[in-house]
Amino acid sequence: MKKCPGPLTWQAVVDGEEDGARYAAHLERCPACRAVYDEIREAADLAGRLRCSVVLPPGFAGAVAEKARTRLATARSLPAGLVAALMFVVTGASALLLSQGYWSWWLSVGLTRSCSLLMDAFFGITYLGKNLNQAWLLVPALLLVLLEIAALKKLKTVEEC
Amino acid sequence: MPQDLLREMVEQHGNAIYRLAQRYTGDRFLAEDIAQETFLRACARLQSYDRSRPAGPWLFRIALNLCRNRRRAAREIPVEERFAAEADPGPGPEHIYLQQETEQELAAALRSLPPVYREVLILKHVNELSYAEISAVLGLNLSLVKNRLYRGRIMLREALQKGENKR
Repeated sequence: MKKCPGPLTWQAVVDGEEDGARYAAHLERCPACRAVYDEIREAADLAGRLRCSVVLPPGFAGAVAEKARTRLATARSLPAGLVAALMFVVTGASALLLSQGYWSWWLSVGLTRSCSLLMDAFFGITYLGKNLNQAWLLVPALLLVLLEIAALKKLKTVEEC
Repeated sequence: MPQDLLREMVEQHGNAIYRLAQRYTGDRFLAEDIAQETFLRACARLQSYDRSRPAGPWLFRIALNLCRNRRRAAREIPVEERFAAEADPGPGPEHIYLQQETEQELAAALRSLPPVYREVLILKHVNELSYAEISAVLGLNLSLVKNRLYRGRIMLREALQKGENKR
């Protein structure tokens, strides 16, 4: 080795990232490099005091798993909320789009009333911050509402004829 | 999934993340919060995580981001109110005494360093990561990691010496 290695190379030797045997001979005969090496070794030993051996309290893994479950359930209730909101908009808008006469009839239909109750309950529970893992039940309700709208449209078409 | 994978990640990396957070913030309660939040965020992002790659660097990255943000938010809390990290006690009672005495100085010296140097030092000496692993966690090239480690160690030594001179 003709040229003296730089401090970063000596640091890599100290940290075991470079093969120390490759530089051992040079370190033996070069006092300048020895001084740099010793200085780096001393600074590394000092920084080695940062090592700490603390461990997490028992039950940490269980607590994290429980919290993750809660967050996941809350995240799942968001799409369910969007479905419910969509149902509300669809039912309201379709009732307005159909003639005025249907509006009162619309409200009196048992099916719609049931869906309204379901939506009210859904919004109520969401507002109270409960988790709604069963929110998928709203999907068939939405299908029923859409079916009802289709039936109303058909009825209107028949009346117009 | 997520529950089994989450448990596995906590068992494998939990203590390492906790130590990193404790050294970074100097507060054991905050460190526990950060460790918990790290795994919760990891759990939420599992779908975007490439499972063929090691989870360690990814988790360290999340934890470091949380440490940076929480530290910024907690800047007004006086240092004295925080807990110093518990150093490795080592073998004898004399050693324990010496370590306890210098622990607060060490924590203060580390806190006095700019975050870029502090992070490299923590990843190297607390988490015992290799240069390549530190580079993966921080998204830096190897030469920058070596440079920051070199400068960081010198700055830490100087900060400790300053502390000793004040006594």
